[in-house]
Amino acid sequence: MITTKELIPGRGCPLCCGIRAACGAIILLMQVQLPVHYFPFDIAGDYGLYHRTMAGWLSGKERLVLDATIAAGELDKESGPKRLVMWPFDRSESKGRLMSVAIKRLAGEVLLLGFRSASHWQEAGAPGAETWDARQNVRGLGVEFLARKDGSDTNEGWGHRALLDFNALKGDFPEGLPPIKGDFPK
Amino acid sequence: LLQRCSQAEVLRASFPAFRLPSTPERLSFYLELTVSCPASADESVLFATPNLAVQLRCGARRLVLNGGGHGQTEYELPENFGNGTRDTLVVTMAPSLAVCVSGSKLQLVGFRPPALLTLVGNPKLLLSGGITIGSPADSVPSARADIHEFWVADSVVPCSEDGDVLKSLEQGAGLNRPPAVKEVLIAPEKDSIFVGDPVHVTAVGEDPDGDAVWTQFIFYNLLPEGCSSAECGDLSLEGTHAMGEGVVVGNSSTGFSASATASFPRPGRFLIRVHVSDGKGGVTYADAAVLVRKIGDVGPRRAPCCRHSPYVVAQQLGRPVHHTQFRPQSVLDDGANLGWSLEYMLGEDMEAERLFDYTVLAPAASEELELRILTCHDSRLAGAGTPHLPGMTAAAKANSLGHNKQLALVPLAFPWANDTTQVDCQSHWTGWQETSPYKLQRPNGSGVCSTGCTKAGTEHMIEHAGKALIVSAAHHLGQPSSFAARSFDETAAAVFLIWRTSLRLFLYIGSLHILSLLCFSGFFDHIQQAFIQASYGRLSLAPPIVLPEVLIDRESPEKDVFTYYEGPARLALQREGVLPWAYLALSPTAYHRRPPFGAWSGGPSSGGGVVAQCFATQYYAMHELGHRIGFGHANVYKLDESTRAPADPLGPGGPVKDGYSDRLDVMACCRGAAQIE
Repeated sequence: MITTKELIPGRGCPLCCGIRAACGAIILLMQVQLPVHYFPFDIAGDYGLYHRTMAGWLSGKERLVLDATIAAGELDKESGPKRLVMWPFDRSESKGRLMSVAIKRLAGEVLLLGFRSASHWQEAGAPGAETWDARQNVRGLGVEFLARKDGSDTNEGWGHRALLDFNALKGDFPEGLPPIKGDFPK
Repeated sequence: LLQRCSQAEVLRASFPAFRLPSTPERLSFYLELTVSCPASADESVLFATPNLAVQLRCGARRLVLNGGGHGQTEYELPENFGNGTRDTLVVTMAPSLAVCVSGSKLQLVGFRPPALLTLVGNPKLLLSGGITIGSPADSVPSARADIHEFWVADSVVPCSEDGDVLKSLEQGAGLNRPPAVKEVLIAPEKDSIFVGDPVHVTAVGEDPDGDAVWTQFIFYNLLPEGCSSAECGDLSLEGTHAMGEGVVVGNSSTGFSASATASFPRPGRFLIRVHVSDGKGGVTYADAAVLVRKIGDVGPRRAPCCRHSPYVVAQQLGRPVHHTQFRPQSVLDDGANLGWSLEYMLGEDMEAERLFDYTVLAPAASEELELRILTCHDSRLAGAGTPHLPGMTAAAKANSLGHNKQLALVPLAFPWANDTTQVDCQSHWTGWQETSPYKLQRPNGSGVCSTGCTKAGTEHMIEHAGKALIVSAAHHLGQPSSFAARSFDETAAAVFLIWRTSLRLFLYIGSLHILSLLCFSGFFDHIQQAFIQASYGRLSLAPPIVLPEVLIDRESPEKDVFTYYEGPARLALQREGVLPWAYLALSPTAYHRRPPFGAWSGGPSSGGGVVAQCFATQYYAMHELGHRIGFGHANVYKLDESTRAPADPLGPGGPVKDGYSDRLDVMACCRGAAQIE
């Protein structure tokens, strides 16, 4: 097992209130947008959209931060609902735009919504099937949640991140629930 | 004035040198701005070049030209400056220094250091690094101002408040017409460029005004010659020009032709961009992609173009592939030894041979040629009060951004070890240990191993994978019973053979060691491509520098077990004068100072990490370099022993953490599947 020194205080902390809030928020989203059987429980922590954003790998035109007026819908009283499109980066029509949206829900809560699409080596197919000779395009939406642990204005004051991953990890039509106990969703 | 952290609030904006006058003799800056400059404001920067900052000291009512080591000079600001009214500011650098606010020349306070006068009298030098509007550094804030107009003029702008000054500037700019590139020619012709071939690029175009043009050719991914700094960037060559000489493009008197030459040491698809400037603000660019093939890739079935991922489909893992030559005889021989027929080797459309697409390394042209604005939104995760993004700060962005970042590999060795019980004696299917000066005979006569990683072995790992595999694999064919006792990487070769005959067996036995077979085109190419993919082309590595092996004494004053390994590696880098972006020390484990982890990194401030393998797997290398960037682990949460979603996500049956398992993540990028640890 590869492992490292603990680098950042708070990293790897157990699930707690932040996850609970994230789950609540995403379940709400799913109820509106996703069929019931897509209940996602492939929740990743630590890195993903968050770290890519922190690294500056998503910058400028690839990110959009919604300020309070947009989030409240005040900008579009005349033109109607605001529609945000997150294009995959590997398609020409994306032009590198809107892969990520950050929403500040409250003073101490942030939601990150992202789209990613990448070719990825993996086995594919139904459990038990010998379908090794395949490489899937992994794609889908991810949502990460951050909450401020204390009143400080430093990065270290934030934590309890979680990620609900809608990505198709294996195959085109993933199931939200693991097929066997202790396994990952397919 | 904007007080919110929005996309309208600009922290700094930078303007590229390429768009500025290239050989000015006069130089003025003209600004129309509304400044907030109360006495309580901190010292702040209005605009700057790399060697000169125009600062405001509102408490003292001073405008300062700060040339750092060249000295500084101060001017007295008028009483009404900075009280919310719209002002004009004219700073004339050359031929003589003068500062003017809203039609009034400012009074000099003190004296003007000669070195500073020399600096400002050299406009070309001043502009050579571009201009930053606001503060280029995080340590000093940008001035709080609404900037309505910002002009750089290669003339002396008069000190006047009437609108004619701006009109005159606008008129002058409006008359200029930008150059145009009509065609980019590549030689040799398409699909006939091979590794190492000189590639000649010629841009043909015209400037409608007949201005002399300035051209740059950027070869993305190529290393600038002789570069040894932590970040080298991409090769950028000034074009050699022939203005109107034998070039027929429209009016031949306004045509230009510029060319540059470079060669590509690795195969793949690469982008070459040519920038053209008329030195008066008019710029244009053109792109050309070249496909560089491996030597010998001449048909009838050529390597396809292109893949964007470093990961090939599982069934082709381990197939011998040379990193610069296409199916050489040695590879065909290796394939035959491994059980692939010649027909298969020559006929199969190989995923593993597909050429990697490096063109993603080219940023949007606007990032290089236009005004680049960093807003408050860009610098924070979600606006005011949310985490700041290190990658967007001047101080920390070098941790995660940049091309051709220098990587140093430091092999560590324990020459005092004379028994395999003292050190995790290393061997590899390449057979590298046979030539190691630190080799020992394994007990039971089962071959040799090395008590130290070596420079030669590390270089072999970077460039090659395949040939030596066969030696070891064939060896195992004859001695299948030796699998269990063998080291990590030797086992990989053995398992590979099992896979050829029994997929299921491989699933459960071989998964542990599949990683060492991933290096289908060499260690470096693979981690390079993985970082390029993950960062969308914003981070790339230079071919690594390999240090001579560093010998570590058995006894060490270092009490910390990590420093026992890290300390000598860092000292060696210092001694060799190598200051890389990141280092990886490769070392066997000395059992008397056994670290608790198989690999570790102290994060960005440590500058690198240690991997307890002489032939580092891609996963270990990517993981520790990820810590160097600043990443945390790629944990996944999954349902605990359940196939039903719990009513309460945090209640019974809720998710539990599974470490290092997000396979879409760089930090677990190459673990593959089947619970590889």
